[in-house]
Amino acid sequence: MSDQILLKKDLVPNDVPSLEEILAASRKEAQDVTIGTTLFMKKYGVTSEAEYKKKMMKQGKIMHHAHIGWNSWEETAKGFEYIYDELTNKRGIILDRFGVALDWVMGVPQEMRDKVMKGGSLIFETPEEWAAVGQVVPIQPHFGDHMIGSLNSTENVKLALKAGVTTMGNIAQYYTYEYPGGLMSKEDRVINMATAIGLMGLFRDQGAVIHSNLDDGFGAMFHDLANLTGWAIMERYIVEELLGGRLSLMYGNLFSDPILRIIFLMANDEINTYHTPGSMIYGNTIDYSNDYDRNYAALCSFVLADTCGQMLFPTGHAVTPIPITEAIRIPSADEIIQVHVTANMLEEKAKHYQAFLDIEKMTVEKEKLVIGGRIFFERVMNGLDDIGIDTKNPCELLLALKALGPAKLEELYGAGKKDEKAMRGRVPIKPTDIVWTIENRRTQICKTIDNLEHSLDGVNGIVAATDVHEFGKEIVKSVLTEAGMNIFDLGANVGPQEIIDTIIETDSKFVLVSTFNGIALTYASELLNGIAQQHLDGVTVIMGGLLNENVAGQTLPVNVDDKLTEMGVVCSSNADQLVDLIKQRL
Amino acid sequence: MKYTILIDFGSTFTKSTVVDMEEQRVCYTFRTPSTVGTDASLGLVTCLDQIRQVIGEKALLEARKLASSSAAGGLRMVVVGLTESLSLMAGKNAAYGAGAKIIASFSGIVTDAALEQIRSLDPEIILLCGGYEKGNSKWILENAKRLAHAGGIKAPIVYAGNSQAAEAVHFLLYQNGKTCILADNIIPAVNTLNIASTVEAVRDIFMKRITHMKGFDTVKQYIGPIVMPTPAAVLKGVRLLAEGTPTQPGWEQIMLVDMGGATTDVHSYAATETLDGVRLVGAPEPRAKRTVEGDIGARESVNSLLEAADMRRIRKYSGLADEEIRLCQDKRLEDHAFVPDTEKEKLFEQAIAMEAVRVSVRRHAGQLYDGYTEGVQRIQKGKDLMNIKAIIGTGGPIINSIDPRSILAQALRTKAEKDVLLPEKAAFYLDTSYIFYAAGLLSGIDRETAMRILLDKLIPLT
Repeated sequence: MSDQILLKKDLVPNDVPSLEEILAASRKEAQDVTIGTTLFMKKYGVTSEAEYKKKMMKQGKIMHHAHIGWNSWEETAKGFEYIYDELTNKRGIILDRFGVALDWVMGVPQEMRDKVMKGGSLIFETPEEWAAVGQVVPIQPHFGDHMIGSLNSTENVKLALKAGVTTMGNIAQYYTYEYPGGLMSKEDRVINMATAIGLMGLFRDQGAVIHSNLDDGFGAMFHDLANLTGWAIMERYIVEELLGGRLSLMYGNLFSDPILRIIFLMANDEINTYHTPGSMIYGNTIDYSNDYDRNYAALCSFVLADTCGQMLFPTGHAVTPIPITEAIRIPSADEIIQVHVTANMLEEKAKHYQAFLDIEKMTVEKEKLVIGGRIFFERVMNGLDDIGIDTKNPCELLLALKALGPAKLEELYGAGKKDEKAMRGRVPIKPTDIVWTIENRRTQICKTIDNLEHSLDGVNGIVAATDVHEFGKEIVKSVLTEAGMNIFDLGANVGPQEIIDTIIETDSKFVLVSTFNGIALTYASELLNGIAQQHLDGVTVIMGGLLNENVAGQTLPVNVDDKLTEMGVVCSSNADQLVDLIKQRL
Repeated sequence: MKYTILIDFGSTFTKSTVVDMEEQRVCYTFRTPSTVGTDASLGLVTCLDQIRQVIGEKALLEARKLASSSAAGGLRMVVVGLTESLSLMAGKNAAYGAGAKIIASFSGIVTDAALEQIRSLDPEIILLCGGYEKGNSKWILENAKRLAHAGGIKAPIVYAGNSQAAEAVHFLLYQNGKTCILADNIIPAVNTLNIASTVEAVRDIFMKRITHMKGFDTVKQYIGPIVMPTPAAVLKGVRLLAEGTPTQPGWEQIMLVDMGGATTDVHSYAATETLDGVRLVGAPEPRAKRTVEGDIGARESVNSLLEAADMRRIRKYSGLADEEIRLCQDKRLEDHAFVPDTEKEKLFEQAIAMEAVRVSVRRHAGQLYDGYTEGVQRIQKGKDLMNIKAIIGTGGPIINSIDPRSILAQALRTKAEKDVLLPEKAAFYLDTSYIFYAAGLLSGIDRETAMRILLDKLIPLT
């Protein structure tokens, strides 16, 4: 894409079907679909989750969500039963919904699955297996990832509706989750996705709700919350105004400030034209680390805020207490139960806070976001229209927005005031928590290190992430840059060979790798072998994140700290120790 | 000034194209066997004599004249980088973009064997690159030292690596009697490509060499200095056709395959974005890219072409037995000007052209590989040409073919080739009048007319 001139052909290089053609395809796909009935629906006498949520909102009941990520159906079903028994039967705590994490291969059309490597999560092979998900316990299932937005959107929507699942996502995933290249063109992916949204739209009066986790998509990458609000308006426009669906927007992973969570809820509520009940608010995971005690405090902070938010502004979003072990491993059933019991207690106490929260002050902040958001939305629409994008064509819009990306969108159309010195050339109306947190952590860490400035002048280092998680890498990078180190940032999803080539081109003596995807040992071994083969003496490899490895036959990845240390890797997850660690090795 | 005369001093022909600027069309073309090897001005005089007869003496004198030259087969160049995927790849792209022919390339610390090879190849220019800015100086200085101390290496050295080492590299080479030209770092930072100043430095040397060839003093008196090397003019023509002009839309993403006796050149113009779900690894690719396959040609390089080709395909396409193939091969090696004259020869010519296109575009295009992380992310190395909309063929074996469509169809990826970043379908065109050099030269003074003559002269294959 040209940096200077934005052209339609750079964003939407090939023709795509019109809105009418997409809707016609949706109608065709909908012909053989009827919504199934889950145990949950039977128990509560409803025909959709949305109907249940509306009832609960009227009654002032706070709903709860648990995220399940086990890798076999057998284990998942057993976990459902165990959690239901422990929480509802034994303690009288109602869990309203389960989020079921599907394997990424489920996002690939059946006929292409033999070309790809399966992951370690749940795979349904037949309609019967899909249908079973709602027949174990009276808790409503929700499908998030690898559904709408994947390469197999339409087929998965049909199977999920037939299984009685009426709320499903995850639109945001389209923008940031990539399947192996070459399987399907980007045009075919959006056509499939838009058809699925249109199909859900045909069932909207029967309670079909599309879900999008803003923090999974570009939401995580905006620097200004006002622009994120504008982005939320854009997602609503495409799903609701163009394709006739109903959208629930989820957020929370990257919102650390508890009050900001309530303010963003209010902003979200205001732009929710059709009063579609929300799916869930996810827990704040940016404050989670390997320190369980601190995680417990973070848990209480966001659960309390989200519960107060629902008491004040019932939007239907279920509160999601995140097990305190989540940053370390896939949580067990007992760890899920533990945090729901905690949330139950917090709900009792939330009532006392509710009346003393300064709603007026929060409303002022909410207004800023909504007004800024509307400006961003209008600017994006006008900007795209100017270069010839048909803003009434959902496929063109989806392609153009993705091709532009969040950084360019903020630079070109951001609501904040222009300022050359500001990040992305604009002063944020309200910086996102992720930007604020990185800056805050950097400042905190830098304060604790004596004589930091210039302490690593002239030292070259490489930072890289083995997966999509760049948060830790960004903090490490900013602290080391502050110390004067010359950092070469390779970004996310970096392979060992790229690091080896970069060591040669940069003569770096330090390689800092962030990893969360269960490949720490294999990765380190390949990296160290490559370094040895090239005779690159004196290179220190430092690894942080989740230092574990997937092992065949084991449900959870195994910790490999000891093995890595034995191999000569320095294992460290604390950015504040890195400067000393590097100094010692100079 | 009614006419512009565009001349190319190629290695096989001296070509001329006369453009009527008022009517925005080519009104005359003429070509004569090249005299670049003996006296370039002889071929030029033959062309001008012919043109005089068509447009008259007065118009000939008044006409603007622009010329390119391939300097008898292109500048022979060696590229030295630090890593295959980063500095060497960027260096190769810069060399090809400048119109050079790469005769050898090396990465890492240059070995004694590599120095010996460079010495025996006797290149006309060496490109030394490597190191991001503030990156590796140590290896760069080591390579510079080895080249500086190597006896028998006379070629000027263009240095386009880490600027921190530039002064020392320059001094080392100068001290040892070597010419060093400094250019900007071609890979200044991660994911950044900056080949412009290297391309310019290489072209400067290219142009100086052309100027010193026999007959070019006389040529200069007739038509002024040579404007640019032929490969640069062709690449400029490709860029024009892709980008278009304010009044004539471009063809967006295109490919030109030029098959000759010694080499096959592939030019492409395509956006450098990566595919969804794919991480681009290696130096970024230029939007306008040229590669030269020095082992793929229909005459001098027929042996190496057959080595690179799939012989089952050659047998299938030509219907010839191995012994007959060998005879055809020998005939081409003995006589580089050979024109296929029998049915068998024509079938063989068709088969080698098909394989030449298949092999050379696959070397030019990028490819996908399995990624490292959990099978989700895949790796892209090289350029994505999947959105190429038109493939244009030129060069003797293609334009004289009985079935050029089948030759160009080899540039498409087959259903089985899921990982090759070539298009599944495209429109095919022939350039029988070698219009790209002319359009490239003309685009410097009149893009609209240059675009029009391109559109007029390209022949669609339906």
